[in-house]
Amino acid sequence: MGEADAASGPAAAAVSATIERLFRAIADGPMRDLPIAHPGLRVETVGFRIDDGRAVGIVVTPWCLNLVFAAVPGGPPLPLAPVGATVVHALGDGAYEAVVGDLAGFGRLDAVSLFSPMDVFADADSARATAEAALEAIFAADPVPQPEPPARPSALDRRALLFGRRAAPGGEAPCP
Amino acid sequence: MSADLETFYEVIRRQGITRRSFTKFCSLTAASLGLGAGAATEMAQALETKPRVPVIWMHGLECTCCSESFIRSAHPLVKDVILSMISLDYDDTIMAAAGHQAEAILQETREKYKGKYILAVEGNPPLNEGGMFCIDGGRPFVEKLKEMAEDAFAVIAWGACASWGCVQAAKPNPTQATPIDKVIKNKPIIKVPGCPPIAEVMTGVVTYVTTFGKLPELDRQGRPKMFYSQRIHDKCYRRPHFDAGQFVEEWDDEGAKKGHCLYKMGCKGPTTYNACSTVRWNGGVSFPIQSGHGCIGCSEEGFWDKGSFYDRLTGINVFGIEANADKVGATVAGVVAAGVAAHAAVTAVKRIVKKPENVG
Repeated sequence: MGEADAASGPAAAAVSATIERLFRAIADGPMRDLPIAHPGLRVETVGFRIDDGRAVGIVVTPWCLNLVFAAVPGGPPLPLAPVGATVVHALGDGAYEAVVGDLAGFGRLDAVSLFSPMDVFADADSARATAEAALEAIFAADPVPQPEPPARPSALDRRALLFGRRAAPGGEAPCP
Repeated sequence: MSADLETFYEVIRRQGITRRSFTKFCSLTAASLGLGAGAATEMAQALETKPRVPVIWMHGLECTCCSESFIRSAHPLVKDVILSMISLDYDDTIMAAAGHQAEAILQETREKYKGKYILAVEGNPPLNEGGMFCIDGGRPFVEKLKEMAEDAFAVIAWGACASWGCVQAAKPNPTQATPIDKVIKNKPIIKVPGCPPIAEVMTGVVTYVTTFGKLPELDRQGRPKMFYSQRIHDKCYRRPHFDAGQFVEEWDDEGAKKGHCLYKMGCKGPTTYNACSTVRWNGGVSFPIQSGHGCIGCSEEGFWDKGSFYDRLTGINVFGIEANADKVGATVAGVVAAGVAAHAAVTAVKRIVKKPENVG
């Protein structure tokens, strides 16, 4: 069920698929039959995309619903921090405190817990719908990239000042 | 300005504390309260201009761990700040006065600052036998508590005792120890649970109320949202191990050495709302899970009656509605079904997002 934002391309899809495969193995392995795992839910990844050079998306499992950040090949590395440390990731118009993790078989995966345990969810569909709505809320107020402000023409440059002129050649008329 | 109406700033300056330390205290406190940079200035201004707020600190059935925690707050200024700022007029544990003199202070504060003082309550009143299990100044504590609450501006319930009842209210509760909100009905009560609460949380709450003259935003259970909106589990440094299914199975196994998740050893972090995993203890040095022991859930209601500290959390929603997966359905209060997913998501996102001005 792994999916990634089509616009984000194969890098996000690859991260999404790997994470989903690994968490599915955890669900069938150490988390199997633990009372803290909600038997009505399933592992799925939701809305993975590339944002600011990182893969961002939500992982839904029977025991947690996390917003996750991961580096992608060729992209910038995540801020240097040891496992268990808290790092702040800017996203949309907000910032999120994520706990640094190291997922065996994948590597560095920073996670922000949205829900855990998952007892609040009636079923897998509502968990997935919540994940989608959460991503929507996170990216909703994403500010439109502001165009670079046009460079203000300098009324005074150092050379002009030293040589007693008001502006560089081609600029404003010199002082009377 | 008369001595009665001294501001907090005047007091600390008189004690030789520099303005630099004062502004540092304001910004640190504003940050710990999750407020933006503007709040530090606002706080400084309030502390410089407003008369300090008298606080009456009463002790019922308790162990004094809240006081112990409070006076060990990490910031060096806190002992001066809080103890002078709040003009702690009465605290039978740390004040010099005793006997009739002490009792006179209570009455004096009550009359002089009617409707203006804060009543901080550590411990709770036992109601059995007409309150005879806790006699304070020759009278049942419950009477004194009700009397002092009558003219208070607000009431702070310190710790698990005042908030929920704690060990003295554990089954079979022979003295009928009762949380203070069951006795004080007509005043706003801020619950600051924990056994004890974290020092910085206590000073943060007092500073907020005295500085801004209003109550912090409270959750449905009456706890300040700024410190009790997240579970220990949400920001636990061992959380990646939980997510990856890596658990400590025995106290001395390989997982314990590697710092894996303590859920299987009975950690109550997943159901406990408190700031231990973020603010931590002893000046941010550590907290129980970092010391290798699971959370015992001491800030949750009735934590003494929830089984052993080492019992694994079983069934989902242990502290709320017990239900197994078959029974979980949209009919159970608080359950997210598809129709309310958007609302649940937005609420959760609001809880985790930090607006850029708050990013430290």
